[in-house]
Amino acid sequence: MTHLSAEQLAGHALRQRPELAPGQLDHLAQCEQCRGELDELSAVIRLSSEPVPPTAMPAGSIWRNIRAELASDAAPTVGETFDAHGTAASDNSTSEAPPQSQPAVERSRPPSRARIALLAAGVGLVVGIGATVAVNQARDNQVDVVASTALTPLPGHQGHGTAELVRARDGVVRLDVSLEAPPTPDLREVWLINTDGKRMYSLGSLPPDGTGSFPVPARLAPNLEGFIVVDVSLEPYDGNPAHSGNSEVRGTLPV
Amino acid sequence: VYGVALRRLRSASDAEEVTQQVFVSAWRGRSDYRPNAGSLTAWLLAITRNRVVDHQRAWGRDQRLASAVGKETQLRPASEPMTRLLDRIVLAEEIAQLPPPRGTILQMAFWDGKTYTQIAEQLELPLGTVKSHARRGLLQLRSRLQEVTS
Repeated sequence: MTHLSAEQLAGHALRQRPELAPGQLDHLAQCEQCRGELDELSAVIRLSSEPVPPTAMPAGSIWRNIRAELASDAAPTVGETFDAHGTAASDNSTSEAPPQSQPAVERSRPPSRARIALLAAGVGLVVGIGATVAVNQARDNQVDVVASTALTPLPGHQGHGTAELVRARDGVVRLDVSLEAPPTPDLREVWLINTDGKRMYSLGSLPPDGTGSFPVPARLAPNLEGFIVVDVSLEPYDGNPAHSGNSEVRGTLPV
Repeated sequence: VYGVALRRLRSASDAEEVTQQVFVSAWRGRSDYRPNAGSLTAWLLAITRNRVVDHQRAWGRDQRLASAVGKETQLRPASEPMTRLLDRIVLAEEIAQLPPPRGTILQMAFWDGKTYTQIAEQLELPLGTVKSHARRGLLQLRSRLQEVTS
């Protein structure tokens, strides 16, 4: 007898109703190959039926550590790619520009103004990118975490995250927020709420990827003057600047 | 990534170290990622598995060294088999990403233990459609898992 089809075996593994004729069941009992396939399918069902373990969140500083480690392994100079393996195909756009423009300079006929402008633009682009990388590196390496807190969900909400109050060497204090939460049709807004529960400042809207860095109002820094409750609210797109009263997660900064 | 590392290593600081290693090596090796071969999650989890194993080997070495100099040997951290844990996460993600109604049908069949008839009534679909989605979905999941583990 021929082997059972994948569809027949899948139907049998799902065990919802008699899928196989008596002759096919006999075959299954004798055929190792079909039984092996059935076992695999049953294992998939078993694994799929088990709950996935709850995820845990590492400290919010982990992204900074990762960025710092990556920044230190390649000191990016102008025209070099950021990748230690030299395989960064995605960076081609930056490194390709100059070689295409350079032959223009070497040609015997004087370069046209347009070519010079093009070349200058290309160099400017590369320098611009190099400078951005350098600035980012500087920012990563030169912040102190003043205080941090976990953001935990309010009743009826899900989502977890962290908020860190960081001070750069230049004295600017920012709040770095990182949130993992289900998608929402609303706008997420980040607030600093006073311990009196009445006064609050809106720091701005949290991008959909859940991470954002917000400058803290200058006169609150560095000890926040009691505005130590970090609150992320869900705001309907109604143009009303007041807090919706619908808070998703919260945490209190120990300052 | 952190959750898997934490379950295996049972130490928040070790798990954070591994998490950092995973994302650093993922970024450095990002040109090796082939979207056709599996989801980004599966790729990151495969790196996680390797890093956790490396970490446990190093830990075992430390323990042997410690016992060689007369210190008391601790028991290795116990936990469920890693592959099983990773497979569960990958499968849950695959099911969630299946286009409707296939993903919903599989969720109802696997997690809620619903029969074809109940699913068909609830989703207002013909019984045959439910049945064929369930079978094909199951086969799809199996081949996805084979790609990931190979």
